[in-house]
This record gives sequence, C-alpha cells and structure tokens, in this order.
Amino acid sequence: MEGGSPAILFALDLAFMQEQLPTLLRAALVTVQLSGLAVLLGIVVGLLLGSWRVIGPAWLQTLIQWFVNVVRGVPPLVHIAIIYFALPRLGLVLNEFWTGVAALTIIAAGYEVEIVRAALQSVEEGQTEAAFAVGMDRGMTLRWILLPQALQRMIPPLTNELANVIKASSLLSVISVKELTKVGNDLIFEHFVVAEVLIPVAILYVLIVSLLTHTSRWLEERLGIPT
Amino acid sequence: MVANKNREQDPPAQKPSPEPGLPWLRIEHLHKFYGSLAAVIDVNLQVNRGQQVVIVGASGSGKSTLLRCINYLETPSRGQIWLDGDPIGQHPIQTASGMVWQADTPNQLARKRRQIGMVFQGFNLFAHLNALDNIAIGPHRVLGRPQAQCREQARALLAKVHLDRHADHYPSQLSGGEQQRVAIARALAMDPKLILFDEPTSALDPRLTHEVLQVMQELAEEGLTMVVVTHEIHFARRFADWVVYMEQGQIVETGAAGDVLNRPQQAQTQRFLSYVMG
Repeated sequence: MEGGSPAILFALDLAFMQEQLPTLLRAALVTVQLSGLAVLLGIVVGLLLGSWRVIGPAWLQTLIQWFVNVVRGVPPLVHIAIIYFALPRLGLVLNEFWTGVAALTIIAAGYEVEIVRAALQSVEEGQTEAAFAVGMDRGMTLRWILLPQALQRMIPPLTNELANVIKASSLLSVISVKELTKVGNDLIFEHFVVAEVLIPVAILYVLIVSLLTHTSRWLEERLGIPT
Repeated sequence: MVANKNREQDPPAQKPSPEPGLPWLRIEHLHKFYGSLAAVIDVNLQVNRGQQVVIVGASGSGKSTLLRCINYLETPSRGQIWLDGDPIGQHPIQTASGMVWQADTPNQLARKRRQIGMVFQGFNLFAHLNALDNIAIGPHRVLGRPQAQCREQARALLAKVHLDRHADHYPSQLSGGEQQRVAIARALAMDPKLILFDEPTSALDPRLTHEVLQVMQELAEEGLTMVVVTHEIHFARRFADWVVYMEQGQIVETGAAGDVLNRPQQAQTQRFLSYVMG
C-alpha cells in the first residue's frame, strides 16, 4: 500500500475491494429492487387499508387495527421466518426473492397504514364537512378532498419508513436472498476479510437511502400546495 | 312555536311566490342531546321558499347546532326535517307491521345534502384547489357534469360574488372576505334549494364583513332561500323576513324581523337585544 493514507487504510486490501466491487454493486441492485417493490406494494396496501381504517365500517377498522398491532409487535426477523415457512404450507411457493418481497411488503404496510391514517386524520375536520355539504359521500371526500391534501403530509414519514424497509431488507439474508448483506457475508466467510467488505457495504446502504431521501424531497416539493 | 310566513310589507315582486300551504323547509320537534346536555330542545320552524330566516342568540344557545342538524352534519336526537316534501336524514319504509322510519344510509344522506348548501364560519374552502375549482368540484364530481362546463359555470358564479379576477387564487392567497364569497359561490354551484349560513362573518373584520353581507343581500333579492345564524343584528333587520331568537336550546320568540328586533315581546329577547345593541 502507498503511504500517507489514514492509519486505518494501511490494513485494507484495496485491490481486493476493487475486485469485489461489481459483486457488491449487483447485490446492492437486488437490495434496491427488493425494497423498491416492497415499498411500492406497501404503499398500495397502506393507502387501501389506511383509507378503510378511516372511512370503512367499524368491524373493518378494528380488523385493520389488529393487523397493524401484529405487524408492529412482531420483530421483522420473526415475520420473515413466519412467512418463509408459512407460505409453502399455504400452497404458495415463491422463490427467495419474492418471499423476501412479500415479507417486506407486509412489514412496510403495517407501518404505512398508520402513516396514511394519521395524514388523513390531520386534514382539518372542516374540509370533510365542506365536502359533505356539497353532497360528496365518504368515498368522494376521501378521493377528491382528503387524499390530495394528505399525500404531501405522508411523504416525510413515508421516507422514514422506506429507509427502515431498506435496512430491514438486510434481514432477508437469513432466508438466503442474494441482497447486499447476504452477499457481503458470503464474501467475508469466503475470503476471511471483514473491513474490506463491511465498509463498502455500509457506504452502499447510505447511498441507497440518500437517493431515496432526495427523491422524496423532490416529490414533496412537486406535490406542494401553493401558499 | 311555528313560524309561518306572514309578512306585513309586500314582498319584493321578483321573489317566487311560495307554494300555498306547503312550507319549503319544515322542522318538527327537533331535539339534539350530547349525553345529558340538551343543545336543541323541541324546535319547530317553517321556512317558505324564497324566504330569509335569521337565527339570533347568545353563544351556546343552540343556534349553530340547529343549523347543522338541518343538513345532518349533526344527527338530530329526535325530530324530523323536510325539504320540499323530502324527509332529510330518514325515509319511510313499508314493513309487515306498517310504515316505519329508517335512518338514511351515508350515501342516501349525501344525495339529499346536494340540495342544501352550507357556508361555514371558518370558510372551509378546499385548501388544495384554486377558487375556480373549489366551485367547480361539486358539480363536476358529485353531479358528474363535464369539467369544462363546471368551470364555465364557476366563472360566472365568481363574477356574481365580485371575484372574477381571483379564479386562479388558492384559498391561502385570498382574504377572509374573499374566501367566504368563494364559499358562497361554491354552495350556489350545486343549485341548492336552500343555503345555510353558520355565522358567515364572525371571523371577519367590519370591512370584509360588509363585502360578504353585500353578496348575501344580493342573493336574498334574487329570492334564494336562506337560513342564517349571525350576530349582525343590524344586517338581520335589513335582510331577514323572519327572525328566530334562541336561548338555551329553545326558540324563545319568532316573528317578522321588524317585530322581533324592534318590539321584542319576551323578556329574554329584550335582554339579549339590549346587550348586543349596546
């Protein structure tokens, strides 16, 4: 190694790191795909359940609240294990990747339901009353008045939640999904190097999350209500 | 206490004549309880087509609750409301044991509410829509009319409330008086049989209050049926055909505006008016 680098870098095998970078980048892409799909599906499920949580019949609201309680109360790793073992028993055989997407979607949705509910309920009561007064039913009020105003308010907490989903995706390494943490771990045990793998892995996670944060900030501005 | 229209002066000629014997809005034995608190007690009121009724009373007298019961934003505990022969909030159904009243489903209620406009103290304009679309969204989304046609109608209504140049403004870019006039136009856009005004000027300074009252006066002259809760006694005297005075959830006195406001019969009404007139 050349001299003059900070002390910690003396020990790093930079040539090995360069050699393994394409492998880690491919794994990072899997992490992005996993989280991206889980997030998108989670938002769909979250919007649906979150809306029903606000305007649905009482029994449905209770049911959704139970779903939320269960998802929030069970550790993500246990969730992943349950889904990994339960889905084949229900006759649904998915490969590791889609099992991972299913597990992450349910985890994401559990939190997103609450984000959607909170955002919808944060819209002033007067907006709903005004919508009722022009003859809108609950569905119209939700679609044309509440959701457009709540969407912008959902984005910051959703971004937070999405960062959690990306990080939770590392847990899918236990069911052998070839995402960033799994591939990194394999490299560690294959080559008996630690720092050379974990440092780029950590940096890649930071990059993925920053990318998401910037996209979300851009979206938030675009959706803004003029003041 | 039934308020029949019985004007002393001749009504303005352009007002549509009320259908004989059939009040446009009829409220019978209306009660509203919140737990053990009685907000409205046995209110009976009739409003004829083209009539302007003003409800006055101190804060907490139940007048806003009464108004909000008319379009079922508050569900009455007891009593019946009829608009143009149509029962609001419930409907009769035929059962084996005869006819019984059943509460309207939310969707049935939504359909009936289309006939009743409402103007709120806090304006409640849709914050994400500009003035034009605040007015157009009702006819477009509720009545399913084409958007272009609804916007054209909205433009005409903006002109009617003297806000032609504010179509693109969002609620946060409008003054309180402007917001309230947009809210009135929004109510008019549904071509309602009746518009309820819940303290429409209480959040406004005197100059903005004047703008809004001006528009309401113009609508009254066109024969729009209006029920107005307000603290503006001077306006009520000019504007109303009929005045209702409420205290502690009950109607204390009703009559032609000139009678109730100038020569109140009840001691409670006299006391209230002496406070507000200074």
